Amino acid sequence: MKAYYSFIKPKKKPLFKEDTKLWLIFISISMFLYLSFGAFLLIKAYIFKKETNELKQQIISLNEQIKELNLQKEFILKQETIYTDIMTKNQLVKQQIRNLLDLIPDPITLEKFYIDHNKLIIYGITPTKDVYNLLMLPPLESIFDKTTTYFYELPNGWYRFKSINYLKSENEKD
Amino acid sequence: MWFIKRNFISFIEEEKFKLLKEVFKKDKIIEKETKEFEKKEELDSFVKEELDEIPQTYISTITFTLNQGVMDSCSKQKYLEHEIDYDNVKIVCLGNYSFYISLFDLQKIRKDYPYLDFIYPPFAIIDYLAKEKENIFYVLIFEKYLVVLAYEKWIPIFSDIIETKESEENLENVEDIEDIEDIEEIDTIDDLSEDITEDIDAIDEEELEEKLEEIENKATGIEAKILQFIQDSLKEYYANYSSDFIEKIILFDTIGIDEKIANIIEEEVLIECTYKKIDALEIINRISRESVL
Repeated sequence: MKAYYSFIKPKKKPLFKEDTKLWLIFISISMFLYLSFGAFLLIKAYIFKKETNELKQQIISLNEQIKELNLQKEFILKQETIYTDIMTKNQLVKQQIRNLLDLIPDPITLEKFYIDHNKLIIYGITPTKDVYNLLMLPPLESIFDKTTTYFYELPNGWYRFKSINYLKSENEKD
Repeated sequence: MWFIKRNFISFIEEEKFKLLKEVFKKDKIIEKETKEFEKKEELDSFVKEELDEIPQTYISTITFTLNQGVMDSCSKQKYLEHEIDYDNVKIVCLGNYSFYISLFDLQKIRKDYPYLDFIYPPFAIIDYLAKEKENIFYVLIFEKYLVVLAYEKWIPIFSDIIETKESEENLENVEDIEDIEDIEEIDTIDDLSEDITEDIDAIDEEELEEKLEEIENKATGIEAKILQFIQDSLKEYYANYSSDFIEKIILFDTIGIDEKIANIIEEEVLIECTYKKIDALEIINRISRESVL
């Protein structure tokens, strides 16, 4: 047991000297400022990191979009090529039809024709075989590599004909 | 807190101001210094410097005012029974006994030493050190004072303080007498025999014997004073305080007297006596430290 023998009680003692107190206040303030600045930097760094991650995500999604767009672009380009090809072919066909129609001489009547990739089949009526052979066959032969014609005599003496014309394919040419 | 330094300064005002400074950090002593000052101003300025240097400085002292004592109770009734003005004393109650001091004296000490944190009665040192407390006489020896505290059944019931300075003045007279008796300083044997004859005629024999006994006692110095003080205290104790026999006397010496005194006392008063050297200032600081912790 502690015995308190003193007739008086001790005075209250400060923990620090006056100048030490001042130093401690200054040190506390500077520590607070350092810590606040540190905390500010940490928060900033955290925000930057978050933004960086977001931006990275955006880059990844944008790259994916670019890939998709590239695929779309390729598809569109292919379609364009196909379209151009078709257009060209159509133009060609148009031209060929026009040319074909120009080929048909007046005495011969064209009934129908069938145009394929490298084949032209013409159905029509000619007054005579000679008219056909003189007026129609030479231009066909000059255009096509192979021309075969079948005649069917009609009751009125005229001839229905079927002309099958081939163009040689690239392979065949080789 | 572990880094806070606590400075405990204790001093005793006797012929000089004796001071002990102990600086602690937590429970470890890191500095110890003893000092002596001739003047109070020197003590005051030293204490002021220490208070400026270490804010947690506790100053302690013991007071030797004669207007203090011990009471075997803390109750007002008991004080009134002993004709002590309860309202004019400051009491330190320690359970079933108390120490008291005159308020006037206490105020005077506080006025003289306004920086004091602890003012102890000298009995506090005895009570703090005392392990045996049944029919025991404790005597605390200072340079200028002798203090006694007697325990009966674990309670101190008798205390006394005497100032030994007065006795020292008597001792000076004794020295004068010794000087007179110095044969070498007397010119002739005739003068000597004349003087002796005159002296013998002048002094009656009984008075002479008493004087010689007194001189013999005084000449042995502090030991004789202690013995006398113990004898007087024992007389007072048996007469007014208790009929139980004192079984043991314990001496606490703060000044470093010959420890053979225990044997002398034993032979003279026929009570077992033991001697122990103590550092009063260190004990005061220890008590203060325990009060602060």
